[in-house]
Amino acid sequence: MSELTQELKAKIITQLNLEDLTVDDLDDNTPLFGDGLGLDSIDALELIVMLDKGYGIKLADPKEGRKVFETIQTMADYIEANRK
Amino acid sequence: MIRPIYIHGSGCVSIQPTFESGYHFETLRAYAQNTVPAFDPDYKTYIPPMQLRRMNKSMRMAIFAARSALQEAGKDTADAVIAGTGLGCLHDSERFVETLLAEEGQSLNPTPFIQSTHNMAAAAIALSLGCKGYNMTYVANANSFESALLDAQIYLAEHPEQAVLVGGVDELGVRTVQFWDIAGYLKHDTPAIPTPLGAMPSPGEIAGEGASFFVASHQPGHEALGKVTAVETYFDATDASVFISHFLQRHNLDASAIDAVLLGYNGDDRYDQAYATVEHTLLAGIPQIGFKHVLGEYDTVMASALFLALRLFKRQDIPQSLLLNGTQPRSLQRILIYTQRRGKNHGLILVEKK
Repeated sequence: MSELTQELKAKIITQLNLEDLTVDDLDDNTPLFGDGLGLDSIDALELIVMLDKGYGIKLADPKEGRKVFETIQTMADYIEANRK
Repeated sequence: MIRPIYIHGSGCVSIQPTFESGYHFETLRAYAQNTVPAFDPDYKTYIPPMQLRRMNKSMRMAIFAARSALQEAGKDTADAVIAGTGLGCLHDSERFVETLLAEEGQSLNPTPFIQSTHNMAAAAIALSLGCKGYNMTYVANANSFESALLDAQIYLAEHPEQAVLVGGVDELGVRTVQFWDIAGYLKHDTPAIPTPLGAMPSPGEIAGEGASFFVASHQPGHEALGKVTAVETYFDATDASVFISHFLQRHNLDASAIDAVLLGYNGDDRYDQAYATVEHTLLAGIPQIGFKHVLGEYDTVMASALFLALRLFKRQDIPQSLLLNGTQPRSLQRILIYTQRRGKNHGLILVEKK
């Protein structure tokens, strides 16, 4: 699981152009949106595309996304449970 | 005839350090390549990091130039944003199309799609300023900036109490440059910035990129940098001397009333003849100034030429690196700017020192 969270952190930094951050700056349980990392709705769309391209997971229900993208850890848990 | 518009602030990002306060082209950055990216300022001066991370070069350069212009004008915002761009946000356009092909239309990233539209730079400026007023982008090849300037004149004629941000921006795109190369647009024979003009003529241009924006209004004010009195475009012209002569007549001027002319020589021997015709006939004896040999060629480089003209008014001195015929004028009060690209899209701007 730790390997997956590290991989996710690297992908998020690259995909969302978080130029000033490194993998070590991201905590597994930091909220990705709101007061945490401060991501926005376009970032949410980028994360949906990342799940599809990287792990073959299609998120159809936006309400589901809110829980899945809460933190790096919740993303990793969801990927472990649903990846193809 | 439309009333002149006064310029109260200017900002420029280009392949030279034009963003530096008081920069006057005396120290030039030299390049030996045929596509030259802009010399980046610290964009974080005006753009928060979380916004900056997603922005392409056009958006970054446009916001920086626009905010610099506002700062010089002593204003926080403008009532309208009017931009010109020849090719828009090329980098994201290319990314979007390439991903579309690679993914066969599936799983497309939203950011390059959103930011691939030509009006994204003007939109980014408006978002950065919280400006909800008129927002327009003109796309007309090498006359894109002139088109934006004409619209600024018309807009201000209808809203004389307002101030607008008007400018031009164009960025390089990797794939597009390859197409230009195939089409024979780029110089291969010892490409260099500054481009030697006249010596060893060869075909091809040196592509650059940049953004210049201006705060304009109908109010002269005490601190106006200059005023734009006339703007005209000609898609095609066989003899530049003829239409420039007619342009001057329409504005009740003869050539001797011009203190200096900025000519868009770019070292491409296939098209520089248009400038030589003017230099040796109609405007012979008038100080002639180059700008593309130090800024590179792009569709909206005319906006950077206007930036330069305003700097010349302020300094009343033409840097030797830009002076083409070696004559310093006694005074710089009225400058004519003439440019064309690849023999088409001729543009004229007449600018005066208040």
